[in-house]
Amino acid sequence: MVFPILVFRDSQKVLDRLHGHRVVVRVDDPENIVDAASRVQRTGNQLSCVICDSVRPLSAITPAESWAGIPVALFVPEVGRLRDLTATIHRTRDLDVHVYLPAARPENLVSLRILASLNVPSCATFGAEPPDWEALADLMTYALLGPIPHVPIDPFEYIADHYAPDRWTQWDAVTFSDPRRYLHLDAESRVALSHDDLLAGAFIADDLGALDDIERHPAFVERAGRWRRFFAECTQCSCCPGWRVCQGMFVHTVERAPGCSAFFTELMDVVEQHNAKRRQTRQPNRWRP
Amino acid sequence: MPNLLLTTRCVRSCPYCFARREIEASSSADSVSWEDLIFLADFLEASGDRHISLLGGEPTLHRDFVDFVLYLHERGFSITVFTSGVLSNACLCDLERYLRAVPPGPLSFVCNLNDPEQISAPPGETERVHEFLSVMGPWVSPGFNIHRPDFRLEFIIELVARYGLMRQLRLGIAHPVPGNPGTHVSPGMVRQAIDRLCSYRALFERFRIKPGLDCGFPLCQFSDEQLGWFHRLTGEALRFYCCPAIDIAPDMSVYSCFPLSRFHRRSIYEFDSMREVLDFYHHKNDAIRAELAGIFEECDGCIHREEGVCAGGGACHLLCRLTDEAPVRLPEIQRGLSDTRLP
Amino acid sequence: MIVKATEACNSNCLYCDVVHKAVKGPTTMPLDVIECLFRRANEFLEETPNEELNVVWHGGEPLLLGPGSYAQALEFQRRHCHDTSARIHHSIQTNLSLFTSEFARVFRELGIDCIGTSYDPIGGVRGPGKPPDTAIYNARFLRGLEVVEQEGFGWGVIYVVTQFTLKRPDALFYFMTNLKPDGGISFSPVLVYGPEPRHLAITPEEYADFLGTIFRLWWPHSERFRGVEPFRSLLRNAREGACSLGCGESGQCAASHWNLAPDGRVSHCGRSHDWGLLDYGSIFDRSLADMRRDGQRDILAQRNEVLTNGDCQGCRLWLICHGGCPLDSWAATGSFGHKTPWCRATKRFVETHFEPVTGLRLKFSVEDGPLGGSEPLGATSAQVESTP
Repeated sequence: MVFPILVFRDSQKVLDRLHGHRVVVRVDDPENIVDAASRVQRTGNQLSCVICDSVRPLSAITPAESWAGIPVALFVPEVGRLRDLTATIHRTRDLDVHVYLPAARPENLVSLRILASLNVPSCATFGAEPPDWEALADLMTYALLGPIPHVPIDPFEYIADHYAPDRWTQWDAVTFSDPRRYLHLDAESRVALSHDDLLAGAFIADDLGALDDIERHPAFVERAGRWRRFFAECTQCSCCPGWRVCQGMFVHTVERAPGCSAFFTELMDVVEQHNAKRRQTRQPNRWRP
Repeated sequence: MPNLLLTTRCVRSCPYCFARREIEASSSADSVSWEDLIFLADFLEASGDRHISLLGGEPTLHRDFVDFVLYLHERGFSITVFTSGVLSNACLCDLERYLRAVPPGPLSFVCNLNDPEQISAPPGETERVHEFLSVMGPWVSPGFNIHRPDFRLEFIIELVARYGLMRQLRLGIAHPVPGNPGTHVSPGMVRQAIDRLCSYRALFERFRIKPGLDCGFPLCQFSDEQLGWFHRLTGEALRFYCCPAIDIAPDMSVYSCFPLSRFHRRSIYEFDSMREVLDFYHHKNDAIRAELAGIFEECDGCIHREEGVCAGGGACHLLCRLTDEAPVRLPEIQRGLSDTRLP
Repeated sequence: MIVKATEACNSNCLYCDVVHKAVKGPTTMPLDVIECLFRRANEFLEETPNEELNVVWHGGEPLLLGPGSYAQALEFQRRHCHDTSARIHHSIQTNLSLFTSEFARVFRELGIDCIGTSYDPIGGVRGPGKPPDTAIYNARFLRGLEVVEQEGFGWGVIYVVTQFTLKRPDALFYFMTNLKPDGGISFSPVLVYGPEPRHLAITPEEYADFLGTIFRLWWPHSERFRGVEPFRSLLRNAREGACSLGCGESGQCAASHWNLAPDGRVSHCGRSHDWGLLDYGSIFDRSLADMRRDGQRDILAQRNEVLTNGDCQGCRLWLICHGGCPLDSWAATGSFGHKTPWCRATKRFVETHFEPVTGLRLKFSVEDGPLGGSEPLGATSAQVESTP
């Protein structure tokens, strides 16, 4: 079994307990990206990427040349005005930066399209609030069927890459939420299955040493088996044509924003169309989550 | 090189405006969205087209005008903005702060100037134009629409000198809109207008301003001497063309040019490339020319037209005749038929 | 060889025969019957070197026997079928509620790699108790499914279409294909022969229209919804002239079926045993080959000729239908010599739904191929004409 990548807030204390692991470190300030990356390398661990959780818009962040060679996942609330972005976008483009934007804000759906067309890879993230499903469908169609090949807009591109018609498509890895690929540590090295679990204090082990095969851990098995509730209760989600990709992810918002079903159904159609005519284009060598 | 109408809102009411019909028919809320702009950029890029003109109404009225220009520049497009130069202070500040960072080659403005003595402007409008020219002068070439035979150009030459504008004067000739002709230069007035233009020869040479002719000028209305002078001054062969400009409205509808905005208007989404769009409207224009060769009787059989040196004037004139005059010809046709009746 | 390991069941599905009928003799198959089965199997396979034997463990709920009984069956096979066991293939049909890793171990040794099951999530149709407790049933089914998948088994599922299903055919279709995205789903109509449960019964026309509704969901995305029967087979038959049919439509069950009851009596199939028809005797008294030659089978062997000269004369769908299951024919008409009422379902589905949607026109008439037999139909015998 390939051990999951460990995600934790930048901490020398946590790093000192690790050796030979693939890690993702989180920082709040873009100024700390380089130092965080250096710390990982000095401790003999392998850096997968640096996540920067910024409260500032992308236009207020100046990517540094010293980020070169560091895969960066930049979580920002919005892009800001394009006029304020153009001064730095060429550097963002040249560096290995992935921009993450919350899909619930309508302006971000436009921003994702702008970023992709300017060759900046980006990803829409989902939270408690549902997005405008129709606008998201437009964005998805643009991402996968646009006339000009642009850089990926995730999760659409990720879903397209991992989609197969005979199975469900798991795509939470794109936001570091797939426990088969990412485990989350707190400052005491306690282990959680996701960042949300970590913030909620839902730990499955006190340290990594207690974990052997994550996929056999009861907490993981229970998490992996959550889908059964939908089918056991014959819920609306279990009868939805979009289930194969959604898997009940938006069950909490389907009542007030039922557009998820149409969105995921259309997504599968578009993904199948996209994959059928995917062209072999050379893409820059960028990290992928 | 297509023209994109960012908005149909305008700040002026020029008497010769052949976009008026388009503007009046549109909602004031009509303006290009980001999604449509990106679609068009993709569409043009896929078509191998890397130039776009931004028009209106007044394109700088669009809320995202500056961002649009910067976006298109980032995409590698060269951009020409057709403006009245009547900008708000806020917009002018944004231009100064953000667009002056874009070199004059990839970004240019054509400022359509009206003679303050012949067309009265509201208070403050002329001053605003001057402020625009003072900020963006090196990016701006002046434009002028000939709409009456006694036009004046001295004020333009003065502006070029004062604000360091590009020394290329874009000269248009006011065209009729089929069904709603408005103020325009009729075929009979063209020679007078050309003579008037050439009377500025000395000023053009002194201030090294090169006049460029827009569409619809007929070759036959120039004397050989006038043609020679133009060529010597500009260093370029004059073109007497009329071909689809390709205007794209905020609602993504497309047509050949402003005067023909109601003629075979389509949606850009019906086409897969700019080539297809151009071919479509070339075909429609050719169909007009198959009925009427040119704006003069002599166009029919003119070797310069047949050899493609001159288009025979604007197709808008021809369509006006076909739409406005045909019913008038009916009695003539009936008379002709009665004359040929057998005894 | 359908082996009815037990008549007992831990569920009380409304439409199941097992629930409604009176059982004569032992409920569960004793070990001596199982052992005799393997002795007879070896005898048969030694006599017929070109034959293979498919043993379908059935019930009731066959897992009620416990893993020990199947381990014993495996031992019997090893003991009695030393040289012929390679030609014995096992499969099982279970509700999965009792499936455990212990069953998985012994089934693996029996060569079973795919579990057959059936499922219906609709409330009040399946489950223990009266009325059936669907919540418990669903939970047990899904738990059993978890073990099936953890143990690396494949699985296929039959969905029995009832009157309840007709209310939301689209939801049901998506539910099943979501549950089993890799295919292996087979829709069948509920078969109600007696007065109960009449409220679940559907007409052939209703079944055809149900299939038609979900066919319209399936067809545009047939690559996505793989392995959905009867669509996959029908389409394959239509395009390739292949002939993949269930036992009821094959017209070839005369010489290929036995049903072994818990008491050791052998009849033709499960229903023939329940209705006292086509009893071939006790497995203790007769060999399988002898039972295969039983004169009662003649009426089944002649059925194809009777139908093509009678009820099914000139029918263009003959080769994919063969007049339906002879037992259904007997239930409706008292004779094996007639087509079944489900013929109407086939015709209606093909003419009203399949052909208009696909643009194909099926032509499987008797003139295009051999009557009965076990040869696959070639391209010359099943013609497909694309409608203009």
